[in-house]
Amino acid sequence: MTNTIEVHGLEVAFGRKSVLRGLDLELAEGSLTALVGRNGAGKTTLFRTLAGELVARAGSVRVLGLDPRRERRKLARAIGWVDERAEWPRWMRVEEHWRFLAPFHPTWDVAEPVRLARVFDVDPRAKLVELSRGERAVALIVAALAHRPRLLLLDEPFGGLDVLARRRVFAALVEHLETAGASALFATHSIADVERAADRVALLVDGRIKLATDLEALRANARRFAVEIAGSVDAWRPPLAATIERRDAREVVVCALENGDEVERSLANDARVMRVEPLGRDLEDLLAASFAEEGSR
Amino acid sequence: MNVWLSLWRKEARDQRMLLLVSAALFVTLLLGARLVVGASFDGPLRTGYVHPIAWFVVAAALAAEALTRDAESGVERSLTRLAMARSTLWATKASFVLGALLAFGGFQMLCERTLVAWDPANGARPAVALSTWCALGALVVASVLAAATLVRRALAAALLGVGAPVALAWLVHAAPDGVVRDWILRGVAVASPGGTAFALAFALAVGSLAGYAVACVEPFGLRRAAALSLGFAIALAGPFTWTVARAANAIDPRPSVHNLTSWRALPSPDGRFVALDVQCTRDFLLEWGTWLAGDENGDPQVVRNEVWILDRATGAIDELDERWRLAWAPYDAGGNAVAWTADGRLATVASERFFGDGERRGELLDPATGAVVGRFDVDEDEPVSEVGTPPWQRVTLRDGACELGFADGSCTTTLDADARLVVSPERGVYFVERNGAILRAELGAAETTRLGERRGERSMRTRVSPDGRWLAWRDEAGLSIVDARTGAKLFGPAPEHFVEWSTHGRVATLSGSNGGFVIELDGSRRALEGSWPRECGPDGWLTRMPDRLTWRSDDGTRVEELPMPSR
Repeated sequence: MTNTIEVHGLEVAFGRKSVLRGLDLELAEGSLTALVGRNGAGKTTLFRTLAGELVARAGSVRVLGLDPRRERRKLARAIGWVDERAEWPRWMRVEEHWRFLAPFHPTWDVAEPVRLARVFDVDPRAKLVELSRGERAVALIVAALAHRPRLLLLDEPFGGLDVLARRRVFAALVEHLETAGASALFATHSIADVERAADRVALLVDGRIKLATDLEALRANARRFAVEIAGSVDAWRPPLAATIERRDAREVVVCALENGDEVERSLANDARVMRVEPLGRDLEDLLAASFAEEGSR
Repeated sequence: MNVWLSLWRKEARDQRMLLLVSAALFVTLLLGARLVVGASFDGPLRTGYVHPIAWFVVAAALAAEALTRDAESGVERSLTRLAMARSTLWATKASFVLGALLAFGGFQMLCERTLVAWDPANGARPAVALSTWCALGALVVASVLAAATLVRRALAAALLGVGAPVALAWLVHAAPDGVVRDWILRGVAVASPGGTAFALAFALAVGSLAGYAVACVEPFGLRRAAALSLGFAIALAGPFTWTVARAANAIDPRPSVHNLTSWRALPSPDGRFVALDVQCTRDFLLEWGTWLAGDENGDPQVVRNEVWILDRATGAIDELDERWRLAWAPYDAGGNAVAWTADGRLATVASERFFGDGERRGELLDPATGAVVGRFDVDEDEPVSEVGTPPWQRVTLRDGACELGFADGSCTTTLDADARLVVSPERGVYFVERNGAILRAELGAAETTRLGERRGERSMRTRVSPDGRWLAWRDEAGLSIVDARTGAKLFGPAPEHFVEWSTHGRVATLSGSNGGFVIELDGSRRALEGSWPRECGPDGWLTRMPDRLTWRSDDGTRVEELPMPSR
């Protein structure tokens, strides 16, 4: 199976401020991957680089086998990039937006946006600027799906959607991926969205992908423990690849996103560890833990 | 193509309100002015000023809006993410602006035709050529486009883009006379490949300096600075390239057969040198891209004077001086620029200023070397030959009056501007007209001698012979020649059209109906063949045709073809 996205050692900076620092990411064909990261982690920067809008200082980027900078136009025809911050003329109605975009995509299906608009209850006659945040996001997603892209880049478009709209949007996304053999990378803060739709999750921390794995594998292998330490907790370090969520007076909360069983065995054999108590491993807990500042990696 | 159509439709929708409001305001302006001002709001006023200014304003607004609207609103980012080259985006915007401006221009023509149909008496051809407005419009649009990429704010871009050419135009036409204005004019209205190169270099230098300043202030301003420089270069390169192409064909000093007075050939008193006073007329606006009021026919013309010296002994012919002499003066201000003194010096009127404005000075030149050997004051309204240049005298023109004295400043007398002063080569002697009488006077003496009287309103072309013995003038009765001491009549009055003393003392006249003839100092008259302009020298005369210059001996047996000025 070929990768839709292949990124190796990507470095992107704005002036002296480095945003992406040696980022590696692979997105398999047909995958619906959630990109999770804190505010300012570099999610939008990654999307802009993948779409060819930004120049990488170092590293390599291939999207659909194309160099995003050199083959930007060709890539733009094949991807659907939804950015809820995208601005369009104030007079532009939804259907006028479709008519405007259609010539830029040879694969544009005239009937598809009409169908999707009915599914999502989007009024084609409404002006984009008069739609609510959620309605506008849906309208942009409809426009992105209308030309049947091979890759969808969705930069946090779901924030304003209600529950019903989210379900419908994700159902449409999954349907599109299945029927077109396409891939999607969407950025989100919502764990529910990750659990509902994604089959893979990538954690963006400090300009790097800290973890990129199947969601099932994450659920199966990730662990969280409360560890009681004898003596000073400040000097103690967890074994293997584990993240310290927090340190209390005598207790340390540890999170292992991978190899959870091995970490548990290692803790049990640590002479300073007096007690190991498993904690809840909701996806939200796991992801929050991964964003903790301390780490033993 | 569909992408272009999609982008044009978007631009049209973006600018729809601006165009509609502009059209409505323009119609309101025309109708309102017509109703309020009445018949004074006529065709020349409308076509000469109202239409072009309105077009420029709309051009600036459209261009600025096209480039800055999307940038200010954030739509530009969305557009640049689409599957097209960025150049396509800018090209569609620029082409839309040009198309909209053409349409608006057509709308203006429609309004004008409607007004003329309503009131035919006020219709008239434009005072300024359409091509000039197009050239200036291109300058405005290019300047605004470049400015808009720089400042990215519509109002500031429009002000900068329109303000820069307006400021330049003001500097050119309204600024006080001075070196700066003169050099700007030279740069704008070039007359040679060197001048064209200067103009282009000047434009690029200004653009580059501006670009450098922007780059220093704004780290990412290099592209915009380059756009500004390119905009200036594009705006100026077109007309100047055209100028180079035209100048490369050489400015032909030989006039067309329809304009026989466009160059004069004057032999020196000893017959060795011939001074050629060449006037070249050009359609100034098409050539140089500047604004000038036209003549009564609406045809703008500019006259450039060149002075060439032909040495009959060696056959050499050179332009006397490369400085601008009465250069590029408006058509109605041109005049004779050369005359020979009795002692063989060449009198010319020189000006270092463009258009001949500013200080003009009379200079006496050595024809062999071109060196300046003397100076005299010049009246702007009088040709050099009528002021007179004997070396003993000094004429100062001041406050509408004329002061005559010796060269050392002694024995000065003040004369009215209407005195029609003619200075004799005889030391201290001069001739004036007073109350219809033509008088001989001497510096320091109170008495005058009446030589004759003027018939009609005034005398014209009063001349003293180079040896001071004879005075000639022409009035309504015709040409008269009298003894300059006693007033005894030598010739006339006779209905002849033109009188000029030859540099060695004989008079030749030209009559369009009777042919040319020479009046000898004994009063006799000798016919010259043909009726073409001619000048007499000591051993023959010059005959100038539109395309050649010929020297004929007095007895007509020797004919010499003389070289003509060329580049």
